[in-house]
Amino acid sequence: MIKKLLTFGLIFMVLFVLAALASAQQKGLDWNNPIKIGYLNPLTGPATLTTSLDLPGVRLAIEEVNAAGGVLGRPLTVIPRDDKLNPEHALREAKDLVVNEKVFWLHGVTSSGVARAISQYARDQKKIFAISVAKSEKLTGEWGHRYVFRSTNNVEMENIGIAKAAKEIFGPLKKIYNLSPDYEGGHAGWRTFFDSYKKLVPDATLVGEAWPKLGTQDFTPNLTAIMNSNAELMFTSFYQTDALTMIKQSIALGLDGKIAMSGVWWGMYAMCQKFNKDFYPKKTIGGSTYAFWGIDTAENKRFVENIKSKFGVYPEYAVNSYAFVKAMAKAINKVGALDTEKVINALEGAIMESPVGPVEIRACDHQALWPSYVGLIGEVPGWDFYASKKPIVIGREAYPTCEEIDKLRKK
Amino acid sequence: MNIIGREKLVFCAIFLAIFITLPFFVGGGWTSLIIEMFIMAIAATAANLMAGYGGMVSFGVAGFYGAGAYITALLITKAGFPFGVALVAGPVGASIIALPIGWFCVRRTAIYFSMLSLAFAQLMYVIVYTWYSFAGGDDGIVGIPIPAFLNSTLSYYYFTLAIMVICLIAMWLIVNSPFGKTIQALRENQERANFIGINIRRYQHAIFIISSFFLAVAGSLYCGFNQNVFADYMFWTKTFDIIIVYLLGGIYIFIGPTIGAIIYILANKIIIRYTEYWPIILGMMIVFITLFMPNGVAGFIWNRISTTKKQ
Amino acid sequence: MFELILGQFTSGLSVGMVFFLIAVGLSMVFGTLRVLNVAHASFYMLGAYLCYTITHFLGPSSGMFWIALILAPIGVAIFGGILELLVLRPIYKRELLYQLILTFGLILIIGDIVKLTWGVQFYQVNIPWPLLGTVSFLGTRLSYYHIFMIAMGPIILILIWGLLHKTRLGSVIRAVTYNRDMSSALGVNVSLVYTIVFMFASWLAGLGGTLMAPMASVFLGMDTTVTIECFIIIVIGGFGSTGGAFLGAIVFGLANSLGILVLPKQAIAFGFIAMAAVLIVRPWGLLGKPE
Repeated sequence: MIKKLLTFGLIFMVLFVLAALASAQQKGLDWNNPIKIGYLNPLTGPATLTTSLDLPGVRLAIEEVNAAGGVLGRPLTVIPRDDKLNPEHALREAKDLVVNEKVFWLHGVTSSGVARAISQYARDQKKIFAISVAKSEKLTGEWGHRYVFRSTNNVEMENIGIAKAAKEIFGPLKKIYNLSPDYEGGHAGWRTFFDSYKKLVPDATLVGEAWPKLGTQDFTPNLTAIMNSNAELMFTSFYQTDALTMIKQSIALGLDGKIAMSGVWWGMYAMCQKFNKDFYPKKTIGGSTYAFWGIDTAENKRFVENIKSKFGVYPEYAVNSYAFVKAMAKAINKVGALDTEKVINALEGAIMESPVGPVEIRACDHQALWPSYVGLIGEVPGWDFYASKKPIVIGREAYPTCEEIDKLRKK
Repeated sequence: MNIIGREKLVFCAIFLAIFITLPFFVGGGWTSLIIEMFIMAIAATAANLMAGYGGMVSFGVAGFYGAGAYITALLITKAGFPFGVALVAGPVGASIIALPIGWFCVRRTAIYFSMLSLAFAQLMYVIVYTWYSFAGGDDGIVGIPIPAFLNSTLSYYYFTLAIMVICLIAMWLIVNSPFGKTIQALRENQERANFIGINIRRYQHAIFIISSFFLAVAGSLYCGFNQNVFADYMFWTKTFDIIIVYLLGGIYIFIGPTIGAIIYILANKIIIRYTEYWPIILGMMIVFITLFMPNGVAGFIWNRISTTKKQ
Repeated sequence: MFELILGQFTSGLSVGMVFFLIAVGLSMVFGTLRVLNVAHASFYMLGAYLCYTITHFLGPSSGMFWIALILAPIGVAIFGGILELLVLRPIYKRELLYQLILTFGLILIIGDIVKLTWGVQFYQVNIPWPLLGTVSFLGTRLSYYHIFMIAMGPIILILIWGLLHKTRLGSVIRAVTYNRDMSSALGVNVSLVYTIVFMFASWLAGLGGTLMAPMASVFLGMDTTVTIECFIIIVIGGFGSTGGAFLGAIVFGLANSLGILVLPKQAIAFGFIAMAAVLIVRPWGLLGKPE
């Protein structure tokens, strides 16, 4: 019995050490008095890919900031924690980061539900929380407050952008079919799209809709229904694995190319990396937070190269986090102290320098006014994947005005 | 006081003294974590009333835990009830829900009981998850106000500690009462109990409701702690968390689940600092405990103490 | 309207068949070994990942899928066998609770093994030649691959039935299922039978994963998308019953896909309502045997 215990214990220890070594890059840097960023995002489970396309941006920014002398003479470090896409776990980690690790700000989060919980906590603790992925516009809108920032764009402006791009690229198509996921975000997204689209194409009508659940494995009945309807344009906010399943099945059914399609996030690199000459959705526009293949500046090329060579992935949300972390470092240095209130004041209205150009952190809602990019999916010369060609840039006019935000918050 | 031996009483007193003074030695972050341990201890001990004492493994414990949390949350946010009332109403409401659910569940045994309790809990989850306008749906309810005197980690710590002590004492009294002894007898030999004329179903139904009551206490406390509720609180993964905790600690000892709660949350916290591959480590811990320590850590220690005493 | 219903019908059937492949293995393991292996869906996931790796082994070519269809489930079966020998044997005599928790630990372990081996990316497997394309049927279009998947269900069902009722091994398995101690007393190597059944169940789950891969995507966490559903199916069909798993899978698949036409928001509740109803009224399931 004792022998069994000992052997098992030994195996256990060895595996533990191996696992720890394997993930040695996740350990905090061993410097004496660093300024810490508490990073929360899924490190396990299906959304882990998103984290791997975001965290490198934080790390690259940290590298550059430290190389340039750090913040207040101290190095910047990041402590990544797994939020498991779950508010309970996220809060537990957030508390540990804030109270034990004494991070200066919290950064990250993909799920809007989790973001809401952390946002509430940040407000109670008077700590800055920078949302790096979560999309719900409410986070900086009606649920917004002084301590929450969003370092990336939001889904509301993305949907407005898709509506605009759909009209520009496809012309004023009138018969719309909606195939969106059944959760609050899916419903809100559709409403935004359709309202904006109707402003541009007043006699647009909804000829049919379906609301499959997130994680649906089989869209063929819906796709067949679309084929049998007289829809001209299909709208969907399904994403990543669900969307790829949908595209696959659409191609298999022969629907692909017959009607126009618009996928809110089908232009994101996470999806486009799967597109190539033999597999891509035809006559489809996709939106992206960062269509790096279509931005032809030297600075952008350098950024993409840096991320790729150091981290082995192409950047997606990384560009947003990168710019924000650098902006934070700049703000802290300007203020001259780790004073949250003063740093917030310094961030409001600050212009971030980014590989896509200058981006303002708007004072009234702390939303970084990032553009979004929408284009027709197809061959992009110079890259080995298919993505949105010559994407249209949707700018800050797609965001709600400060007056509208004010009204929402007063309700 | 013959309901608890002198030794155990001293032991409890020491434990209590430690927990009362602990916040002064550790940082605020740890205080918060220990509150979670207290809440998990209540939930796991409650679930163990069914499992360890009653021999009924429920896969639906998260449902009642979450029900307590949601009832409390909804009463405060939708009906403006004061926190104290809502906190009591949570477990009471959950017990009412447990009445019909328990009635159906106890009419089945073993795996069928487990599956039925799972089905009911998942139904509760679906109701909450899809009812956006009333229960917040997949967005949950956030920013639930609690009274000012509870608004600091320290004060909530003592509040939770007090409630945990009360709950554990209550549950201890229950399992050591004639009622409790009957429940344990039912676990051992249902046929004989039937023979003596005991209405098995009635007893099992009662312990189901009692267990759900205390699970909901934990849930309501958690709602006040985080000042939010999410549908995840009712999901089957939460049930497995609770089951792992009481198994880890030991199901045949009253204090087992409490010990399990301490170990589980501590291990979680420590592992996650060093590696993103915590699932495989946790998984191996679970396999190890199941294979080599079936009576849990508390059971293991108790066995060692007992054997040395016998010498 | 009719086309929509027909489309949902075939969709429900084909997804149901994959569920059948996973659920039947789970049911067999419970029926014969008396163990509820909640990590069973992890074998499904493993099968899908192996399918991806084998299919892309010599470069992305869809002909390799057929090789994957043969090799991936075998790989999963071998993995299952090793697991059974090392980890499951000690707990056969234990109570349900321990089996549950141990196999739950396996979900965590296998999940991280997959993550360590294949990373966080999600993968695509293409529909293989010659199953590309669609056929017109009663006004709607059906893809050949769907039809293939629907066909696999009954084929495997017949295969299992044939194995259990027409081979000597099958009668040994049935004997052990019926009465373990008696079989042992009659000289049957019960441990070996257990291992074989477990490996076969793993093979089935791996096959399910391999078949599903071209339809959808291969990603971390795909095991949790089917775990609870499998419980529902074997409860409805009856623990230990192969025909029950088949029936339960069809009922579940159809209830899901047709249910969303009627009550889209509440559709996910149907499975649990059916599960509760069966447990309350007829706990041994539609085709199970009362104990």
